[in-house]
Amino acid sequence: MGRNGWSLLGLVILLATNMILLQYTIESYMVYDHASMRLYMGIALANVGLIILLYRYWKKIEYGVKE
Amino acid sequence: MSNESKDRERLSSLVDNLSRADDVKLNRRAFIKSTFGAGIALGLATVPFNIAAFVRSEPRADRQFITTVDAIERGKSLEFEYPGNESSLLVHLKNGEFVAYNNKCTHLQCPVFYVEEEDVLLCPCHRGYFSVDGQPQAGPPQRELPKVLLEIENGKIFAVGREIHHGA
Repeated sequence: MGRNGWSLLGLVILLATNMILLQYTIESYMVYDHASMRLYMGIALANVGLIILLYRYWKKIEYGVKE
Repeated sequence: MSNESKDRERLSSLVDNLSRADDVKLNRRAFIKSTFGAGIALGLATVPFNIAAFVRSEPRADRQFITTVDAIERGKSLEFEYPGNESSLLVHLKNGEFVAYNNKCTHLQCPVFYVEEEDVLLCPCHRGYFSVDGQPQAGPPQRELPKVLLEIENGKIFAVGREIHHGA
């Protein structure tokens, strides 16, 4: 698997993680578990940062000139 | 030129600039970009819930009379509201102990019931099982039920607080 494949695999993992974190955040919201909510939001926002970095990396590979 | 041939010419001018290879390539990139966007949107969607949680006030968990010890037989349960208007369930276990939990399932908020035969708390919506100590046992729920703290005084049962995390 090339660099492009690895970056897409990373994207799928981060997307799935954020989906689960959103569900956990909503569940915590319902039971007033504010400490857990903050933790899940922190991880989700860190994931957002990783997704942005990954996007820039993927774009470089995808649109880069192949020699 | 007939109308039919004019139509055909117009149609061909609509499609003759499309290349199947380019089209598929473009769609693949667009799809991947959308997936990146979806990942970011899902992550950011956690923020409004935290803001809403910060703004709203939690119902006060004051001392509240529920019922008397004699009013509820062993193996039976009683629904009551605590704290505020939140639905809760008081269970008189077979061993004589009393326990109480907020009885909204921690999966999708369906009401949870006590099943005397199996000595478990059951959420019938998606068959989520909780043990009588409030821990999830089977089915979709992953979190424990919030525990209502009880005090028994002169045969009267009072709710005196709530614990979101109470361990096993």
